[in-house]
Amino acid sequence: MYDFMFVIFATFALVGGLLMVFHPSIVHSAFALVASLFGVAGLYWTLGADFLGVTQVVLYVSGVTVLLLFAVMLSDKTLGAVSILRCAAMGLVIGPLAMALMVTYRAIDGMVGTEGAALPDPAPTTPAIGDLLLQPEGYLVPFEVASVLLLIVLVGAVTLARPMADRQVSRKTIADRADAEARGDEGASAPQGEGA
Amino acid sequence: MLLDFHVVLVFLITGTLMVCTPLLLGALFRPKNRYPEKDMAYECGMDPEGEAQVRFDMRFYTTALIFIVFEAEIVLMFPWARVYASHPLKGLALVAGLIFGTIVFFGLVFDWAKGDLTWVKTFHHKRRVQG
Amino acid sequence: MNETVFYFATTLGKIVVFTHLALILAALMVLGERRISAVMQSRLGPNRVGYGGLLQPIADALKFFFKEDVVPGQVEKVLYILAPAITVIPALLTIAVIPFGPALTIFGTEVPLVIADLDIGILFVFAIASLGVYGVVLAGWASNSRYPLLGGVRSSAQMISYELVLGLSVIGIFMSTGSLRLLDVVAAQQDGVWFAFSQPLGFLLFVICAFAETNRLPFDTPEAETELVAGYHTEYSSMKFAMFFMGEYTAMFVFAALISTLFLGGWDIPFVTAEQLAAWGNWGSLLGFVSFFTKCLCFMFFYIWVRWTIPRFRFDQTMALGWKVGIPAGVANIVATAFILLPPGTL
Repeated sequence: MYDFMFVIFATFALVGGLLMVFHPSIVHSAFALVASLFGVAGLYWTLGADFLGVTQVVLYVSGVTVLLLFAVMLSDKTLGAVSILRCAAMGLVIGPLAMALMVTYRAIDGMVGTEGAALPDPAPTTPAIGDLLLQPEGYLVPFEVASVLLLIVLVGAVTLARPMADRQVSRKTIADRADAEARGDEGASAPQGEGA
Repeated sequence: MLLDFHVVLVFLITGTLMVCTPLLLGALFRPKNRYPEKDMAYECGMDPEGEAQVRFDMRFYTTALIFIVFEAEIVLMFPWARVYASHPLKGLALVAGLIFGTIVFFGLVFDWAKGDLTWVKTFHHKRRVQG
Repeated sequence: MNETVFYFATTLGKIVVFTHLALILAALMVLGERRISAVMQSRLGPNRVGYGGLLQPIADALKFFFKEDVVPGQVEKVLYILAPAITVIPALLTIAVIPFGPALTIFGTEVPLVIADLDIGILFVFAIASLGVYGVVLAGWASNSRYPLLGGVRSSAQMISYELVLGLSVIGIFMSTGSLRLLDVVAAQQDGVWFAFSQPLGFLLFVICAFAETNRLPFDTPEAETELVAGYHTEYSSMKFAMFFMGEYTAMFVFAALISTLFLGGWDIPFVTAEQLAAWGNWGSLLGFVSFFTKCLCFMFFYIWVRWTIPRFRFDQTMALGWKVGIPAGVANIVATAFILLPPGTL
């Protein structure tokens, strides 16, 4: 059963990843990324990390990718033209580097060369994670620091996004649009001010 | 078993089949009668003009940004909630959760004060400046 | 009998039975909606096909099946076809963790009436429900048309906003039960009081989210017909349109089932203890099953009732309710629960 799960989810992850890299349309790429990330979540489940898998779905598959999609839809379509060759070159550098890092870590850990041990009967991980988050000698401090990080993200995100929003609104008001149309300016086809 | 994810996978496959069958099977019976009007985007009888995939408002993007942060918060709260009732050090668990929640909540208050949670914000102000 | 074979047979059986149950219920819900709406507006509604119109859903399905599938020329084909499927599958997948009744005993083996008994049940629901947003965004984008795009974008913004409220509103329950498993939640309510009473604020928020996440009135701005024609599924027809319809109604059933499980005691029957129910054996299971479904049906009636009672919110009002009322209220609920759960004298 685990083999079966692994094959299906790994296929999801790989095919999604490949599609994401090679598809010419950036929106299609974003959706391929959804499939790929979902495959990774499935791999976590296969390994018995239930909480991690669900977190992967909640945060990456839905959260980050929705954001990505919004970003893509906000941007010019022409942005999609990124050279595949350059990406491939970057991958050729980063991939082996990551691999080397992992192998080094494993070597220090003393696990290189060991045959994949049989999976222990997997147990739910959430209680253990909860306990660790609340242990002063465990991850209590990182847990609290994480909230500060989230706060920084909240403040930073809107602070960075605001100037863009203002620019967008000021450039694309209905008045502007009417002016542009009066001038017969075809290029200034403005987007809808949704909700405005 | 508390990790029945293989069942979920089987379910996923069954569900996909159940969805795809009517879609594909029906194609054998359906009439096909295409003409140019059917090919057009629906705009209440008007001819569509210009690009349909317009760039939409920036607010949606800001909303999605704030959403991710809160989703991360909620996901981190779940293990905490899971062990809260049974935790031996109640006071510690309470204070840890409170501090965590309050700090993130500050972020919401900040965005609220800055007006990013208000859907009709910059528009009127900017318009006056422009006009 | 071979244990593995038995396990797989029962699992497959459960999958088939429960998904069909959900789909049939969704179909009946469509009929119910039309009939009840009609009653509320002093009309008759569809009553000709079969006894009292009971066969109307089948007639509708057949019609969808044989209608021409118009695919407008401007769409992005692959994503356009994927979108309806991606709407239905997450809705169906959520059924996997819902406990439908007490365990049945078949050939001396206990078979729990839940497809996948996950320890992180509710988190799984939360995760899968959040995938539903893709069907909508996909449909809106791939249609390459104005109304669907606006509907899709609105819908996704609304869904992600209320997802947060949804997540916050259930945390109180898990603090009290100390488990994320839905079977444990039901057990806790059988022993004690229903969470609708002990977590009233969480219950209220969850109900609001149920309406917002399924795009039901009063939160149906994504498909508000007066401004957006039909929202994200404007360009869909035939079976593909039916898929969106099915997805929406299945999601409604799933939320009704979740509310029954989380807040209304699941299969718990008032004044009957878990032991008494277990003593009746398989009949007790059946009784629990009926009790669970009665609660679901009541909530589904509530959907329709609200639809013809409360007018649609404006989009900015919907968003304001989610962000400025829902989230602070959800956080307040967690804080209150945390203090209530403290044994006296801890502070």
